[in-house]
Amino acid sequence: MGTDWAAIYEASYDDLVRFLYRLVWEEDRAHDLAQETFVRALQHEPEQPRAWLFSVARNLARDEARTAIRRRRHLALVGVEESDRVAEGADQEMERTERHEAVAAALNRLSERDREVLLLWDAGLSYDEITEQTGLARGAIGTTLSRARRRLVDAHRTGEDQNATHL
Amino acid sequence: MPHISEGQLHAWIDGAIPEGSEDERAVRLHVETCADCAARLDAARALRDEAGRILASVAPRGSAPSFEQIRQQAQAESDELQPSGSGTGAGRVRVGWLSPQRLGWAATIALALGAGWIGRAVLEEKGWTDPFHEGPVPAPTSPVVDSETARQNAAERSRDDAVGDVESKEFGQRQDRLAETNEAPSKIDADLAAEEAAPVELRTQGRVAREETPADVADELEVDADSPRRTEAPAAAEAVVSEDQAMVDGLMEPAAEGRGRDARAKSVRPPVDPWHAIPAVRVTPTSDFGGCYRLEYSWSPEVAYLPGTVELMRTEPSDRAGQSIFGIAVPGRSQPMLHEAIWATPAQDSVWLRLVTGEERAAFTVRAERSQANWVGEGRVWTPGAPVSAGQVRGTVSLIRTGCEPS
Repeated sequence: MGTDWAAIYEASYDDLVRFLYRLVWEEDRAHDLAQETFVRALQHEPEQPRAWLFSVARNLARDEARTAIRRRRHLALVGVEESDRVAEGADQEMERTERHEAVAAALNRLSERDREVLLLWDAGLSYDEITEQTGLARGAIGTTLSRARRRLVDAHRTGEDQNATHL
Repeated sequence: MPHISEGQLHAWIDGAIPEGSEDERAVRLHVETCADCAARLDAARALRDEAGRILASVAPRGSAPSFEQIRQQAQAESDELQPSGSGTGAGRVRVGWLSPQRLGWAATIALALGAGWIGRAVLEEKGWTDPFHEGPVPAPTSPVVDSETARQNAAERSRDDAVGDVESKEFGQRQDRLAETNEAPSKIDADLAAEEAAPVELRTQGRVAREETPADVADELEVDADSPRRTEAPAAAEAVVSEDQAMVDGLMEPAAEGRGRDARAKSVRPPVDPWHAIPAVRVTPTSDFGGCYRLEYSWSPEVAYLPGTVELMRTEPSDRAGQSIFGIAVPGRSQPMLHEAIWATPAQDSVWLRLVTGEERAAFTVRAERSQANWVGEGRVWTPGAPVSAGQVRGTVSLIRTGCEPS
């Protein structure tokens, strides 16, 4: 096949990690799954690489969530992680954790379909690609995105208000 | 011309309506002459930007390994498959999988689980499941949502389908599914439909109504990954699942875990600290334990969890067939953050807590004994997928009474 996988990797890796991270909420897992997806893509040589990547990545994340498969490294002890934290600062790390929790909670308020469409769009997929990926009618993508955005923003604001109340 | 629909507005600002097309001209002309739609357009832009800002605030860290590393990884794994002579359809750990030795291990585990399940039932009849039980935590099956959210989502699904059918006539026909997904569209649709039709996990005072069943346990240990629920199961995917599960189950040597993965150049990160997901926990009051507490915990120095505190506050009891098991709600937090939160007082001077995070299924358990007005004991974190012997992290836990008023 004439697919320029190096170019696709260059252009899509970060998008794929971002997409996966908002499904699994763990950076290391997101990178791991993204790399696994590319390894499989190189073995399968799909004809529509970008859409294939997101489709397989989504299912890898879903499979992992369903079976709760974890590798031993997730029972991590101090090492690189701890030095990272020290370098970054505990306060910043805590703030970052809270920010991510707030967004994760807001995203969890969306239906699975709304969340998927929103994250695919945010990862850079076009309406046509989202249509291929999800099976939704193309005309429904805008409606779905509209609702997903509104719900995300509302849920995020609600979370912020509640946090402010608890302070 | 009727007003522009919300979906069309978002499609337009997203650039999904081809510029210069008839649809695009119609939308543009209408917005130019309709003040209402112009205002809605501004609102749609603001909404899109705000949603984008929220998502952008949680960008993952880390950098990509070189493409050459990925290519070598793919090549190495392909080479490993060659001796089996089974081509792309072969799983990486399926070669010789059904050996008598492995079948023996599987049978032993199955028997142990069966005995454990029966024993668990007996324990539950007595009123409590040991919070330190080391079996697998139920994997997420569907998002845990409150009943209001479930109702909203169901209503939106049916409404959205109708809107989509209408709007699709304006924007074009539906695309075919990807051939590379290795799966007929009907199977994906059926799978999603089955998920959406599945009973939503509802909480009663933080306790998930759904109970773990032997089928769940069997599903957890299913080494052959040909599960009918898998939405997309390339042979290689199944093999990786099998490999990981085999490691979890102790059926593979640890050395196999790192095979071919050194190209991935990642830093090792810890699992989500359950308490980071649970900043405030309400505890049902009973005779002595009810009240407001601050939970202080510390782990052994080599563990990456940061020490912290959690405030335990009062709520109304959650009656559960007269048993001394109570729910813990998490106010101000998304319920999916927490899969299970229960506590009990198995004896006058002891208390057990068990919390399981929603996303990670990391279990945090506490067994504490009375120490004057406070409670002091041991806490453990169990991470799904890790062998029990290495998968538990222990630390000391203190429940310090703070004297706050019940809510």
